[in-house]
Parts: sequence; C-alpha cells; structure tokens
Amino acid sequence: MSAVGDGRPAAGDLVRVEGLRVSFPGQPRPAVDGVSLSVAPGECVALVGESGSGKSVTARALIGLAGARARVSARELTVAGADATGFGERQWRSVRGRHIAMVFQDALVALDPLRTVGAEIAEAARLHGAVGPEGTEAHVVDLLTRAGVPEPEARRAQYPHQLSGGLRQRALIASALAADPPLLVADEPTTALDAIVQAQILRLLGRLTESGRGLLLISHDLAAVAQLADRILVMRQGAVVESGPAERLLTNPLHPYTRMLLDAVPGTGGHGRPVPAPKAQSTVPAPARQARPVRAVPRGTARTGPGHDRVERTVLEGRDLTKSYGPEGRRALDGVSFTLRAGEALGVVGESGSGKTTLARVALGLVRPDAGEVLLHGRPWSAPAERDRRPHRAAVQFVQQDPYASADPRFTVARVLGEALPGLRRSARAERGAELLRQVGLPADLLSRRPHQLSGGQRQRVAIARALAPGPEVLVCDEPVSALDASVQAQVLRLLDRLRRETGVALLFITHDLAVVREVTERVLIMRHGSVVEEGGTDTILTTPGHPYTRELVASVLRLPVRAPARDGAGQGAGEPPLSGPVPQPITPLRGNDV
Amino acid sequence: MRASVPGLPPWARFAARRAVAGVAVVWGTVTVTFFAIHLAPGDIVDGLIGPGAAATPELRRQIAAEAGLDQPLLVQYGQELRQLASGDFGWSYQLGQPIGRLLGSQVWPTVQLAVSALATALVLAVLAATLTAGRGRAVRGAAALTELLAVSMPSFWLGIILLTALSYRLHVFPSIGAGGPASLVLPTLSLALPLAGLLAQVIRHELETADGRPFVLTARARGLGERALLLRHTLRHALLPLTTLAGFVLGGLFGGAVLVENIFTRPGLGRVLASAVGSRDLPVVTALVVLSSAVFVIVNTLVDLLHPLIDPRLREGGAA
Amino acid sequence: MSSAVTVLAETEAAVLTTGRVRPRSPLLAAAATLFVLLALVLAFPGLFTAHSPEATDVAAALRPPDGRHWLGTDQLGRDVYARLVYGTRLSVLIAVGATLIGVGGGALLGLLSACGGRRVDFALMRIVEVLLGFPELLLALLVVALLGGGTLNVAIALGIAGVPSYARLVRGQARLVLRSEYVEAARVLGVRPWRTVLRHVLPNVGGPLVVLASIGLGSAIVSGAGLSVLGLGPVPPDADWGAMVADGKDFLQTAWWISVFPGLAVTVLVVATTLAGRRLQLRAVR
Repeated sequence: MSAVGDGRPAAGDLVRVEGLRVSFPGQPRPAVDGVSLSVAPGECVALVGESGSGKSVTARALIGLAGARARVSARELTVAGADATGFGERQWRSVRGRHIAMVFQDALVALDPLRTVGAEIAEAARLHGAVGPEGTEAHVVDLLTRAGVPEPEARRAQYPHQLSGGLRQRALIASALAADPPLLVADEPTTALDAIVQAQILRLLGRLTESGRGLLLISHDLAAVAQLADRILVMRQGAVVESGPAERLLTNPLHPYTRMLLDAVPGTGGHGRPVPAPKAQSTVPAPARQARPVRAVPRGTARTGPGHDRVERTVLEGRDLTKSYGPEGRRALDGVSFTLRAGEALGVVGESGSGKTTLARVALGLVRPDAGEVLLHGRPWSAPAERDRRPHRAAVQFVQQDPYASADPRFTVARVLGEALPGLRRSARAERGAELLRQVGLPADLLSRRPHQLSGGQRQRVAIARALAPGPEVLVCDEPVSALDASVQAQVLRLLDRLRRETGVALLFITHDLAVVREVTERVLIMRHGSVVEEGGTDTILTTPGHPYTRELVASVLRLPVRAPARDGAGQGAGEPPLSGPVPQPITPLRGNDV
Repeated sequence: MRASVPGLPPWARFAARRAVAGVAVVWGTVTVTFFAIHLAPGDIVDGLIGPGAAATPELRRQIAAEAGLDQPLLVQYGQELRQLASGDFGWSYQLGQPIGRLLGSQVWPTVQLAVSALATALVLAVLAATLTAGRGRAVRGAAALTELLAVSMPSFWLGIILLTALSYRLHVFPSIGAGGPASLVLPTLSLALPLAGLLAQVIRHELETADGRPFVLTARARGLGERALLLRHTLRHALLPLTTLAGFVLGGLFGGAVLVENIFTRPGLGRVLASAVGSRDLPVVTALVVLSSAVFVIVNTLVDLLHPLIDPRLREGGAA
Repeated sequence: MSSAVTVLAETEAAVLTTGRVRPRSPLLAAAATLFVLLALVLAFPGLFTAHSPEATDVAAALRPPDGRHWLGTDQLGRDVYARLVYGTRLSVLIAVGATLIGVGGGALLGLLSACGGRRVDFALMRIVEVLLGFPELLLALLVVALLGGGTLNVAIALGIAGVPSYARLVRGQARLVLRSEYVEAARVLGVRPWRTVLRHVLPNVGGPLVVLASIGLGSAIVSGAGLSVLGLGPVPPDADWGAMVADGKDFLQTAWWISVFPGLAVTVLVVATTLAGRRLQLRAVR
C-alpha cells in the first residue's frame, strides 16, 4: 500500500483511512479496494480517476454515505480524531457538515431546487448550532460573501435555477462552509462549469485551504487538480495505482496509467512536448495499416485524392447567419459568417449559450436561419426545401455529442451503419460496414452488437463510422468528445485528425474546450453571445489572443506544470487579488468576424 | 422578462391563459356532447317517448317540434349554448322536472361522499408511504402487495364485501341510505381504499426516487436526519406529481360514486346518472357530463396554478 | 400547452414504474399459471364444469356453496361456478375489445398528431384535450347512453373512453423519438420522413404502448364490470362477471356468494394483468 506511508505525522489528520474497501452486492468486484488516504489541515489532496474508478464512492464512505446497500470496511477510519469504524447513524450525522462537508458537482440539482439558497445555507448552519435563530440571516449573508457571491442579500432569496452556474456553485460551497468544517470534500466541483468560471471556483477552493482548511478534491481532470493539489492519488478500478506529491506525480509519473492520463489531457499532444505513444491503449486494436481510406468523392465532383491544390477551395460557407429563438427573440446567432475549405479543420469555440450549437445545426441544414444563408459549393444549402436538400445530404455529415443517444437503442451496429448505406445489397452492406468499422479502429465483430453493449468510446467511433459512410466532404462535430473519459477523448480526437488527413474530409469542429480545439484544428472562430468575436489560426489565437474575451478564455485553460515549468505561473490568480466580486464584466464583443 | 401584456405580472398572465383554456375545454365538451347526441344513430324522439311506448307519426312530429328538434342543427346548438350559459340545463325527459332542481337536490350526498373518501384516501396513502418508503425488503414487499390488491379491487366489490361482512353479518354499520355519519363509513371506505392504494404507490415512488437525487445527498452530507429530510425536502417534491393526479382522482371519485351509490342505494348524482343512462334520458346525461367536465377543468386549472407555488422553477413565464 | 397534462404523462410513467416485481417472484409465477388457466377456460369452458350456466332449478335456488355447487346457486338455482366459467368469455372479450379499440384509436391519433405537422397536431390535441376533460367512466357512460347497452356497445364505449390517454402517450413518445439524436442523425443521412417513422418511431413507441395497454387492460376489466353492475352490459341471459354481481346485489343479506365470487374473479384477473404489465415494463426499461 503506497498511499499513507509517506512519513507524515498522523496525529493532526482531519481524516485518515487505511485499507478502505467498499463493495456492493451483485457487483463482481469491489467498487473501492484497499484505498488509504489522509488529509491534514491546510492540505489539498486530490483523488483522480476516470468514471467508475471508485473515487466518488471513496469520498462518500468518509462520511458514512456510501449507500444503504454498500458493505464498507477499513483497517482504520479516523474522522475528527475519533475512530469511525463503529459509528452509528447518529454519530455520523454529528460529523457530517460539522467536521466534513461535501460539495457536489452541479448545484442546480445538488441544492434543493424547491428552496432558496438562503434556506439551504441556513439549514446547514442551524443544524450544528453554528448560529441561533436570530443570527442566521447575518450568518448566511456572511457565508455568501465569503464564497464570493455578489449582492448576497438579494441572492439569498433566490432559487438555484435563478443563479448562474458559477454563482450557484458558490452558494453550494457556502452551504458546505456553514458549520465551519475543518475538512471540505469536493466531488467534481467544477465539472459542470464553463472554463472561465471553473478557474474562478478553483481559485475560491484554493483560498479555503490557505485559511487552514483541508480539502479533498475529487476529479476526473488532472489539469484542474494540478492547480490546487499538494498530493495526488490516482485511482483506477477501485484501487490507488499511484500517489505522491503533486509536483512529482505531474512532472515525473511512475505508473503507466498516470502517464496515459497526463498524455490524455487535451492540449498536451503535438504542441507542448512530443507525446509518447500511449502505452495503455484500450482494448481497441489500432487500425490496420492496409485499411482502405473511405471513398470521399461525392457524386458529381471530381476529386483526385488529397492534394494541396484543393486546399483553397471553399466547401461550406455561412453568410451573415442570424437565428432567434423563443417568444423573447433571444439571438442564438447574430450575423455569423464562416468559410470552410476542402479538407480543412475549422474550430468553433464558445461557452454554453454562445450559439455554437445553433451554428452547427444551421450548417447541417437542420435549422433554417432567420437571415443569411449557408452555401455548399457555392450553391444554396440552407435555403432550399428539405426535399431538395435531401439528395445532397451525403456531402455534409454529423457527429453528435452524446454517443449514448445517437443510435437507435433497438438497432444493431450493422443496422446503424446500414441506414447510412442505402441501396446496397445485404452482403455488400455487411462488407462495407466491417470496412467502416476497421477504419475507425473497431473490430468487425461489433456489427452484431447493440449500442448498450458498447463503451462510450466505441459508440462514438460507430457514430463517426456512420457519418463517414456516405462519403461526406464536411463533418460537423458538435462536442464530439465532451461526454467521454479523458483517455478515450484523446483517442477519438486522434482518430478524427487521422480520418481528416486520410479522407480529405473537412471538419467543422464545435467545442467549449480550447485545449481540444488545439489538438485537431488549424483555424478557429471564437463565439460569444451569438457572434464571432475573433477568428484566426489556432496557434495564433492561443498564443496571442486579440479580443479581451478570447484572452480571458485562453487564460482559463488549465495547464499542467510540465508545460509551464513554474507551477505558480500556471495556476492563474496566484498574483491576482482574491476573487470576491462578480464575474468580470466583459468588454462589448466585436461584431462580425474581424480577425 | 419582457412582458407581452404590460402591467400584468407573469403569474396573472399564466392564470388568465389557463382560465381561457379551461373555458374552451368546457365549451368543447358541450359541443362534442351535443353533436354526439344529435348525430348518433337512433332517434332522439324515441328517448322522449320512453321505451316501449308506440306513437303515431303525427304525435312524434308534435313531440319533436315541442323539443325544438325540427330546427336546423346549428340553431339548436346555438340555443343549447345560450341555455347552458344562463345556467339552464333543460328538462328531464323521464322525470319531467327541471334538471337544475334535480341536480341541486342530489349534489350534496355525492359531494359528502367524495370529500370524505378523498380525505380518507390521502391520510391512508401518506401514512402508508412514509412509513414504508426505503424500508427493508419485507416491509416494502408487503406494502406493495397491499397496494396492488387495493388498486385492483373494484370499488363495487369492496362495497359488497363490506356490506356483507360489517353490515349484514356483524351489524356494525347501517346498510343503505344517507342517514347520518354512520351510513357514510362503508361507502367512503369502498371508494377510498382503491384510491389510497394508487396514491400510496405514487408517493412511495416519489419518496424513493427522491432518495437518489443529489440534493438529498447534499442534505444528508450536511448532517440532516431522515425525518427532517422527509419533512423539509422530499415530501414537498412528492407533492408535485400528487397534485397532478387530482384530475385522475376526481374522475375516479365520480366514476366510483356512480357504482358505490348504486350498491349502497345512496341518493346522489351517481345514481341519477346511472338511471338516466339506463333510460336514455339524454338531457340529464348531457347536464351531468358538462357539469363534471366543468368541475374537472376547474380542478385541473387550480392544480396548474398551484404548481408554480410548489415549484419555483415553474414560476417564470408560467409553463409553456 | 397544459403543464398539468405533460406532468401527468410523467406521473403515469412514474406510476408505471412503482412496485417493481422481481423477475422470479412467486406472484408472477402464479399470474402466469392463471393466464394459462384463463386461456383454457376461454377455449374450453366445458372442461371446467359439468353444469350449464343457464339451467335453472328453482328447487335448488340460493343454495350456499357445497360439494355439488362449488360456489352456490343464484336465485334461479343456476350454478354460480358454471356461470362464472362461462361468463369469463364476455368479461375478457369486453376488456380486450375495449383495449384494442383504445390502443388502435390512440395510436392513430397520437402518431398523426406527432408526425402530421403543427396544424394537425394543434387540432388533434385540442380534441384529445376536450376528451380528457371527461372522466373516463363518464365518457363511457355517455357513449352507452347514445348507443345503448350490450356487450359490443360497452366495449366500444370503454374503448373510446380510453383513446385520449393512449393518444397522449403515443404522441408524447413519438415526439420524444422524433426529437432524439438518432432521428436527427437519420435526417442528416437523408433518410426520408416516412422511413424514419416506420423504422424508428413505430418500434420505439410500440414498447411503452404495449406496457400501458397491458395495464389499461386491468382498468378496462374493472370498468366493464362496473357498467355491467349498473345493468348496462350484456343482455340477459348472457352475463359477464359484472352482471353476475348485479344479479346478486339484492340477495346480499341471504346469499352473499352470488355477488362476491364474480367480484373476486375480477380482482384476481386485474391483479394478474397488472403484474404481467409490470413485468413487460421491466423488460422494456432494460
């Protein structure tokens, strides 16, 4: 067991567990198997792992909330200086919130949606006698202020859904701080947030540890954890595979799985340092070399294979696109133009609500713009009736965000692909299907499987195969990797990049993640509030962002210390004043797409 | 929020919209009923004359003219709407008295029965659900089985069982009529038990799904006890689907009342309806259908207005 | 439009998922056995009783259950057990007929509404909303008042009364499927709309519809019996279980068995259908 035995004194630990094992009846293997960890005052310990690694179950077991059916055992479990192995419900209740408080992922659902945030915070405060009935109001306001919520008096009376993602996450943190617990356990506290807000919340959590509080940070995201953690434990399939001081683990990982996770952090590939070939590939075999490239030649256009002469030819073009939704007339798109050249990869980056998904749907001819138009090869694409567009649809294909929803659950993979291969005989269809699967790095025997029998990464590969089947010239990818685990993310990004180079298909790549965009695109549009604020080469924009909003966005990209040698330089905000005000007010966005 | 009607707060606009929609549904009900009756196979005059009686063609014509049936359909429709709008339900063919008075004399026993059954069902359901939700397998299995039996039992059969056992055998309760509170007990139980089974299922389901929600985990993680969790958080969430069932419940209560009043030979609207259907006394049927659909719509509208009070997420702009 | 209606649909789904039945529960086995028995009773009622359901024997009237008349005799001396066995056909016929009419009409309306464009949807949904404004039994009573009683008319009446709820379910499910990402993907691939309806919408709506229908069957059994109790069902001497309950209503004080056993039969059949419905649903959820 590697975890706790790092020679630190155990006496002052806020929580200390050795040999934690959690199993659920009916599960073949324990969810947590032999995990040991401890958190000291003022220390931030991070528990990192992909989905299903057991990190959340570990956290919940520390406050006796692993679930009614869970079997929990440990050689040692010390909470607030007391042996907690024999705790009953009553004792656990006195510990929860008072000694260890939890912050969960999405405050929209982690706070009771039917109660005001003030009521939630007050409940937490009064429960442990932190305040009497008279002092509650002032205490709530004080907590909200400390969590960096502006206008706490007004926010107190609001409901979670009325607050922005960042503000309600702060309110959730305030409720966790209500009884002044010495240890905070934060389970994916920033995963549901946009990049800029994520950076702010991480800074807030960092300030909490500076004041002497312990923090156990649970995340799938090494880059996010790197900003705060003193020590990191990497979990996989219920066990800790590597642990150690953050500095060492991030710069000099010993376990191949840790190395793989680090490599999978978007933005590390190709640009920073040479990426070693991933050692811990999934079970999916690498695509066979002799796999024939997809026939990407659409009907009626002469194309003679990938060549430089085509690069300048525009395939898909959007002109001054405008689209409003709802009775309020909210502008999802406000005069957006773009050009996508043959074989090019164009990134569209924006946070939630920026209009980037609407742009994808307009480009696909799924949504008709209110004004402006989309042209395919210079001919009208968005304007014609669906009936007239249908014959040409093969040219523009789609990879959706959620691989779990993108295939009919009743269909086999063969039928999913078959739908994209009309007019072929049964045998030819199967052959073509197998070929497509090979091309996206999947074995042909998956053809008879149904979606729920596949992993997320496999499903997304199937979706990509389906999109490639008609031989498209444009692939619109809407957040194609955001629902996937980091290691799978990297694989899918590499796949898309390889397919583009092999088949000459152009990518319109829509994402919220600047780091992802740097992996696959050459040019990028930055969108905000339905407009393009900046456009240019990906590298240029990432290194010398022009627009203030872009600068903020670029600054919020979480970097690993390997690429930014001084950790202080990477963890933004080290030199900034503590953030307690509202989200910085952006400067009026530029209109149009001036570069 | 940009208001389309200046000066009106969102909830008022929402309420107004719901009220208009409700009136439209009642009007639709009247229309459907009217045209169904007049376009259905069979002559309405037969209903007027009554079963078994023969009439000469002249007499038939005379009867039709008296009832206004010789007018064009749309004229009759307009007349019907005018009458209903002024609260006039017309005359019963069979009983020869104004329907308004007939219903007025029968409405009270039915309301009494429905209200007492509803209250009983609610109390039983909430008790059963809160006591068994999240308990061990044996407790929940027993509760689920009881609920299943209660839901599956037709109220008329339950009534018969109760009558046989408690009234005829043990003489605990009077068997028939509407004489005082004691006579209300058995009909109430026959009506309430199946309803309680349904409601208990819904509440328990809500309580148990709420158990897996993140905010419940948060509340537990801050040290909240199970009872406080139930009272402050989960029960309120269970209230939402419960109120939406109000329409179902109302329909079930009225449908059940028709049968239970018959079994227990209690006076009430249910018995009026059953005998009117039996004798094809169409004006009475029409009046009862329109009346109950109006009540139905009013209750559903109230529920819609109540929802935003329970769930703040529905407040802004009202539900679309 | 009405939030109550949409939430109601969700609540229905919630009600459907309550009371999970374990795959190998003894109850379920009992229900399965019962269905086999039921099929035999429907096909060969003569196998189950030597008595005729219509043979009267005034001398043997109102006999309590004994070795000769297992469930006693009614006021005309007819064997209650034999009548129960032969009445099964009518009871099941009414319920199944009503459910088929309801499901068929509902599926048609719902699919038209979901796939037929905004105007069709608006018009149809207003009609459904008006029909939903009637309590179900009331709607059935109205139809019976118009058409008269009898086996067929009761089935039609209950069927019509069920149409709006099935229509709402089908419309909701179909819209869910139509908005799904896989239908969007099909559209991007250039699959024609009618093909999408055939390949994606119908199969994906069918599952929940069968589940709801199997549970609706239970309530159709109860409602059918209810109408018969009111004397609106099959015309004598034919009698379904409800009519038998009505027959015995006036003899409760002296001969409870005439009414109680047919009512018990209704309850048992409803429990069995509900269990089967939940089993189906459990499979659909997986």
